Amino acid sequence: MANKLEIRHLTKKYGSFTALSDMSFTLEPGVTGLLGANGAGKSTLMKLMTDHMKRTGGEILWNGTEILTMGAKWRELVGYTPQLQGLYDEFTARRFLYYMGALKGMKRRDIKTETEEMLEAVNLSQHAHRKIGTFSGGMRQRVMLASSMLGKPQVLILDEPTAGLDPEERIRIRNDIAELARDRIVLLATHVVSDIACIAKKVLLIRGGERIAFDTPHALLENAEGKIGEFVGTYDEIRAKQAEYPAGEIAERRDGFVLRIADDPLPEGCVPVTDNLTLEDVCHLYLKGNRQYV
Amino acid sequence: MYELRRLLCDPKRILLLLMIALCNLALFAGYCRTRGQEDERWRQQMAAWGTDLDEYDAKRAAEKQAATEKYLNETYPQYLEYVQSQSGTQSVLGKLAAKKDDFVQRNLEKTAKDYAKLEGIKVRAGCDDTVNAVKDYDVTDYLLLIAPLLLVLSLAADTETAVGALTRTTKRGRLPLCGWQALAVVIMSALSVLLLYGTNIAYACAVLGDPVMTRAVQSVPEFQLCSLRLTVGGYFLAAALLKTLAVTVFALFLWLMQARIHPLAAWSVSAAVIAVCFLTHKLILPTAKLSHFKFLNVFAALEADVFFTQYSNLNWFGFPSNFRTDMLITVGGLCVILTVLCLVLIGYCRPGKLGSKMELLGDRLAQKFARLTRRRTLFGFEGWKILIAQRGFLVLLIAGLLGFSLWQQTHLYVWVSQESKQIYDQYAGEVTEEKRTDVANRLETLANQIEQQQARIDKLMERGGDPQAIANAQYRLQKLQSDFNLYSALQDALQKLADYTARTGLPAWFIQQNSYQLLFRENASIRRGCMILLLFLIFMFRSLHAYDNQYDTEMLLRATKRGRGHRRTAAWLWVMLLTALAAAAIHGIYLVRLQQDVGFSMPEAPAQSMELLQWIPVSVSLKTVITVQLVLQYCAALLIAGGTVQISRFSRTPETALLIAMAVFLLPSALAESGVTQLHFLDFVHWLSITASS
Ligand SMILES: Nc1ncnc2c1ncn2[C@@H]1O[C@H](COP(=O)(O)OP(=O)(O)OP(=O)(O)O)[C@@H](O)[C@H]1O
Ligand SMILES: [Mg+2]
Repeated sequence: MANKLEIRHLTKKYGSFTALSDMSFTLEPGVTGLLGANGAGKSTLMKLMTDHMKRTGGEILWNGTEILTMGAKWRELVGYTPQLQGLYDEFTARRFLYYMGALKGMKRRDIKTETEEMLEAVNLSQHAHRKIGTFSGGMRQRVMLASSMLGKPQVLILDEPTAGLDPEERIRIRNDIAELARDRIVLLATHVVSDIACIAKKVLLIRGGERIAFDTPHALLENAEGKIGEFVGTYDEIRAKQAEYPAGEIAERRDGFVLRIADDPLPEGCVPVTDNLTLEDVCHLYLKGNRQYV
Repeated sequence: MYELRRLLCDPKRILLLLMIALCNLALFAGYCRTRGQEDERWRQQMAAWGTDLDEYDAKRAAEKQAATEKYLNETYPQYLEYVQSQSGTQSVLGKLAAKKDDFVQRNLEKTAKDYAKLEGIKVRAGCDDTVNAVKDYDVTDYLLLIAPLLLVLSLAADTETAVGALTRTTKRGRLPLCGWQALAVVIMSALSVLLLYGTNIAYACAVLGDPVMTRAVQSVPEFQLCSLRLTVGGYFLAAALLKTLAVTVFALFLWLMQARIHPLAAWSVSAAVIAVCFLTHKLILPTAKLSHFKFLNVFAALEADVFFTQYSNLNWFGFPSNFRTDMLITVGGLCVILTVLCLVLIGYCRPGKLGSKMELLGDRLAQKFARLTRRRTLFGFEGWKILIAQRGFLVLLIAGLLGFSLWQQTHLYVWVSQESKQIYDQYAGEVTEEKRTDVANRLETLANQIEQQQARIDKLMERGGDPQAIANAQYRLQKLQSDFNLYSALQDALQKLADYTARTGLPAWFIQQNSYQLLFRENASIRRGCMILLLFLIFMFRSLHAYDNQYDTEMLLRATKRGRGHRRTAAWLWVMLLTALAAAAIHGIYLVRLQQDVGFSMPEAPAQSMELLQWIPVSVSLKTVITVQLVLQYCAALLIAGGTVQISRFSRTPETALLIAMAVFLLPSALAESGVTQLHFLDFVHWLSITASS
């Protein structure tokens, strides 16, 4: 039977401010993309899932068991990459991974082999003996990622793991994640929508702490059909139009300037786009404002 | 100028300096108290054996006065004469022998010439103890180093960071900036010396007595060999300058090392150089052939007292040269050379570090080491974090040095008279009826003898006999009387013990109590040790959690299987272990010293043998009480360690934690130690040195 992680009516309040309200969805093996604007509550959701803070209400069930009652058993299953880079400057990359291995309660033998494996996976083998203090931002991010994948946990919770990586590294790591996710649950929060588009089985859209949509990328794209359109005109015309749609994207094409907007229903004079819709368009449509997903 | 202000007016730095000054004051105050302690203990013992204290004090004062006068009026002038005459006779002899190696000859001549400068010197009395206390206390010398070294470390760290990269691109960001920084180092050194050494002088003057700053320093017997024309005040000033010079040399050296050499190499090289200097300074005798290394040494300058209390000419290829001149040239020269090197290498050259290959080597070594120690357990890692990543090993090292100096300075001799020794040999142990009758008989005999002796003297006087015979007889009478006093005191003591046993049913023996008195009562010696223990605990555990907070790793660690309970437990085990180590060392030093210097007699005796411990309601042996006291002391240390850990937990960085912990634990203790009695209940040193009597 495949593993299942159920989130039910999860709520989190910071004082009187509600960061997460009544969130429900079920994760299954494969990558689930988590999209949301800054401050939408992505990190909050992830911290609740790793039992880092107290929740205000709701439950999180692993194959039917509440994770709070599982305690250390639950954390054994989880690999987590926090958003803030928390790494000790004085540790070398290898030592840090060994340390994480010890913290994860791995067998000594496994720690060594898996560390080397992970260093290879994030392409840091030749820097493993260096202190993390001397690493670049992207390298740190990769150490962090390696540490969360160490021990091949059943559930991977990754909070913007690809932030600050160069394109090549991003693709490498994306592939690694996809590979890992074949029989594991991966929740991946990011602002780089194309990452999710490539590997996600499902996408969770949240806005202001509320769930907007939880669906396959394909279904999301279908839903967006007819809600994305383009104005075509001279530069000045397009600039004038953009005042109305600040989130619109301007591009120059052979037939003049184009402003691509998301709106439902599309305004007059706007030509609906049909062929090259992307998840980015879906984000434009739902992550800001108060449009409902149907 | 701005740089200077940034570096020196940093509130954290100032606070730290003040804290160090306060610790130093507390330690010094404790030291001063131990100096007087021997005398005081002896006085009390005299009182216990029935001596009139006023009389005794007067006698002591007279003796002291006589000794001082003898030195001032006889010994010292004679010494000066002797030096001059020596050169004369020897030179004749030398010429006669026509020896090839004429260093000895030249040396004597030079000596005479040097001392000739002192002609007409007037030595006068004053409080010598003040001068000696300041001179002898060498812990201050090492505390002096802390603030300048920390400054230098932060300077070296700046070159690494973005700030360093940024400032170097500005117009005045290189040589001029480095110049200001070097100046800041010098000022910091001077400030540190002024503050710490200055407090010592002020405290000693206030508490021990007026050293009379204007008299010649040779008035103090310890300075008999000094061939400089200096007043006591001048000595203090000159010593301070010398210390400043030495501290500056240390700081500049470390700066250079840290800024231009790979950390691992830098630490090893600096440690090696400093260790070699320290050992050569400590181990080579002043009279040895190679005493050059002893005297031409930064540590000699740092401690400064050899400079003023010794006289020696170094043998440079047969020519004598005064070691003081050579020492000044060496240390001053080092200072200048290091400054230039710093300016050129740090300010002018591009940043970069020598020995980057060390990194590979270091890592290989570390890997080998890791393989050896199999550091893959959580316990091992937490230890690594505390000792290596948070530089705990440095704290251990410094604490070790302080402990060593404590070991050397702790002396607990108690003088025991022949008579009382005899009594203890004979009567120590259980109080039996037999012993008591024996004492009673003895007293009776003594009383008879006294009577007879008195009669004999009366008879002699009546007859107007030989005065010598009368004096002898009187002396004998005095002896008998003091014996009588002794035995009647013994009888009282035995009676008291017997009464106690009869009253409570608990056994109580008559025993030699000196060492136990020292162990079960708080005293300055052990307090000084506990001050070091307190410092150790604060410095060691300041960063236990603050280190994680600093790097924001808490979230990551807490998300792992063993990242909560297990990790805490591992860290706590380390806290308990290190605390045990330190507490055992400090209290152990004291116990062993007591055993060596005084000796524990009859540790199996019941605790109630001591009046001090008669509140204990059950029958236990002294051994048990000692064990319980040690356990209690360990618990107190653990309590303070725990407090520091909690502070660390809520601090963003180790530095903040350190400052808060110092303010919470050290401030009240240091104030209490320096004499603010209202703070006694917050005196954590008192907690650490908790004794069976309190
Ligand atoms: N410790 C806290 N105390 C109070 N409010 C908080 C706290 N942490 C987060 N918040 C608030 O909760 C909301 C959600 O924060 P969260 O960090 O989950 O956003 P996010 O989706 O991860 O954003 P980003 O894309 O910028 O990472 C924000 O409005 C934030 O201000
Ligand atoms: Mg976030």
